[in-house]
Amino acid sequence: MEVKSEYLIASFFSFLIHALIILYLMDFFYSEKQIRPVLSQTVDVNLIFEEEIIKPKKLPEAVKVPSVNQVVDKDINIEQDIKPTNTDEINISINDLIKIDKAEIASSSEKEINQISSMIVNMVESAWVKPKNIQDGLVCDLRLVVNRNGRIISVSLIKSSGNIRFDNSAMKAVNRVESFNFYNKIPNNLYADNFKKIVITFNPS
Amino acid sequence: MKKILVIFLLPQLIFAELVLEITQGSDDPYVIALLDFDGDEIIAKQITEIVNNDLNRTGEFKIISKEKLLSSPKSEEEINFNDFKLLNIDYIVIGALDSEDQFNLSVSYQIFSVLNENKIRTSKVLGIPNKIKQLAHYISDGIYEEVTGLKGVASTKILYVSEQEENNKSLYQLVVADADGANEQILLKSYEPIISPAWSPDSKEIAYVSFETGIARVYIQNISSGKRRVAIQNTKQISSPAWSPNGNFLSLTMYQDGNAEIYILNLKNNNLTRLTNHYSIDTESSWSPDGSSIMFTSGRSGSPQLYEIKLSRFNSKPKRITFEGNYNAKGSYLKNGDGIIFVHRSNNDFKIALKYFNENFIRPLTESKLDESPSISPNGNVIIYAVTENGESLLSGLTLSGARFRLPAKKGEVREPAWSGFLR
Amino acid sequence: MSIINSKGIQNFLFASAFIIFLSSCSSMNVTEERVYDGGIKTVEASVVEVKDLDYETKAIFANATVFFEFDSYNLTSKSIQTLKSVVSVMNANIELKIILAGHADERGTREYNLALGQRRAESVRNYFLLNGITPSRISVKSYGEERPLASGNDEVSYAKNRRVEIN
Repeated sequence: MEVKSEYLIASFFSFLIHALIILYLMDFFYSEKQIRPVLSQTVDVNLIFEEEIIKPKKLPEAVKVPSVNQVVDKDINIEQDIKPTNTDEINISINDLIKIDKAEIASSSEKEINQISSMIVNMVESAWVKPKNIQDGLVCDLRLVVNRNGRIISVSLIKSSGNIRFDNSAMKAVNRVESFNFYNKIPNNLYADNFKKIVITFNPS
Repeated sequence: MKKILVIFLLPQLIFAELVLEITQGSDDPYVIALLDFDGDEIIAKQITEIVNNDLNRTGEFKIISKEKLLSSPKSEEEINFNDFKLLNIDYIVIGALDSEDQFNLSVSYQIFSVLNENKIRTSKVLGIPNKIKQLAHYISDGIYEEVTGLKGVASTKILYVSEQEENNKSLYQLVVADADGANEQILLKSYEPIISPAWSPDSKEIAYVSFETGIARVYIQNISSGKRRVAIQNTKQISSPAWSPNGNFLSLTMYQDGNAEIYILNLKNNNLTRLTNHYSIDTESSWSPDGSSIMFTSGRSGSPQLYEIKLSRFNSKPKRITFEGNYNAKGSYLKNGDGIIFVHRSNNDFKIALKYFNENFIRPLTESKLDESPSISPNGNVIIYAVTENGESLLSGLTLSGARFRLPAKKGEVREPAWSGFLR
Repeated sequence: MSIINSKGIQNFLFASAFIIFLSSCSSMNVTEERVYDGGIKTVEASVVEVKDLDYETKAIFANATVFFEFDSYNLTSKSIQTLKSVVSVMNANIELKIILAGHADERGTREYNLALGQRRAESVRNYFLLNGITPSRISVKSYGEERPLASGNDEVSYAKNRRVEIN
């Protein structure tokens, strides 16, 4: 059977183009430089404690600290993104920290951070009234700045759900909390690193 | 002398009409202390009352009454924020009538955040002495916007049809009123039925179906001049007008081949384009907020259901969008295009329902048996509709946040409400 | 309206520019606006004279009404009986013209009911056409749920309202 060369060449190019497209879609050409930090500079170390956060039962309210999965996968050193703090612990990459976390679950300061995180979540959860007739799948993020005594100094919406009523309800919840009365019990070093600036994700699903 | 007389009479008229019944509030309202406006007592009282009712009707506010307040500051300097924190109040509103003569009335107000102990808004509204209501509505909307971030609808209007007995005949009237049902003005009087009123996007014109010539015809009428014209001359009936969001097109239902089909009329050059071509009923067209799709009611699957057709692709096939129940009709889009409200029949009851496009279930919003003609406010938060109770029809409202209210009972029956756009 | 609006906008811009100059510490909203309330005109619908029907035809067709099931425009066998007699009268009086008016009960939405009434009237028309009546003698219209015969909210009243009247 005779095969015309034009056809061969054409189909070869077609194959090439298709392969390139597929590879591109499979992120073959993806390079780390393109990554932007998940959040702004205040990606503090406390964000690792994502697995601590409660997934909701039947009650709709669930407040969870956003995950850093993206960051972890790409193994980025986020040193430059962190606001300058005094400790040296941050020089360890996120991957290592996760490993430590998984390997040494009973490490005491981690335990404490988890405990405090869940107390924060509980307080905000109980103050949150989810608005009615809101569609599923809405999520918004608020950043809080909390002073040493636990008083919430500022709240800002850093990621809108697209629905103003939903965003407002999250803001209301935080405003209603006003201050976390257990903050005096937090040791100074933990406060500065983890609990001065926190980001809360409101995700009812 | 004359001025004082007018002021005395006005409140009587106004207070007699306004009987607003708020039957349910929402769960998590903003708590507001609304202090009496400073100035002429009668006007100030009116304004406070109207603002109070407007904010209550949104379902998102709880107004703490004067008696419960620990102090009544008249200006910023006099505010003791602790007095308000104790009562869990979120915001304080202090207002005053600035100037007032025969032709001008100006009111200014300030809003304070109790949490942050600071002033968050200073506003001034200029109006006319005998249009105090509208001025008060502007104030309500200003407060609503500052606190919730959404545009308020207290200063918008509603359009509806009223039917009453007169000389043993039925008198039909097309009425426009304020969003709280007050200040009714008649746009059209007729002894033949009027249905399907619709606002133009700029709220300056209306379209409606009138049977005055013996068959259903669509008229377009300019509100302020009263000038009107037939949308399109035709021997056969036409109905169900709906304006496109840019005001250039009017979708209509025509019966040229004996069957209800949807057509689009280009208002600029009078070109008529046919949209549907199916042997079943296709009617009740409604445009998406971005003007790219039209939703309509069609019987093509055997019972009335809602379909959507994309206008960008020529001859695109209508896509069915309601699947629950055997009667889904008169759909209209939510203002941000992420869902629809419509009339839904379940267990022989006709209710108003809401469906988000990213969900596959219907959310019933009302509870009575014969609800129809839902119309959504321009800020997308409030739905007004007609209820039939004890054989009478009246207008009822509900907010997405869960509050409910009734508009004052009128003479005769009222139905087919349509909500205007923003007028501020 | 545009004039007043632009003035309001101007004022607002001026006020906000002024405030920005003052640069207060917290972001405060300052507005000024003017109330706009347009006029409204009332229109009286013109009354169109309905040509009186020939009294003879009125007498003949006084009872010609055909009824339908809910949300349906199919002719029942009972309807067909009634229509048969109308056909014979039509054939006997070639001059006679008829108007078919379709109706629906009040349940459901008005526009859909208007279209339903129309379909019912069309069903009757089709029957006549199939039986040899010339189209020019028939005109069709619909009143939807606007002209009920019975005003109750029960099934009995509803049944009476789902009809086509032949005049």
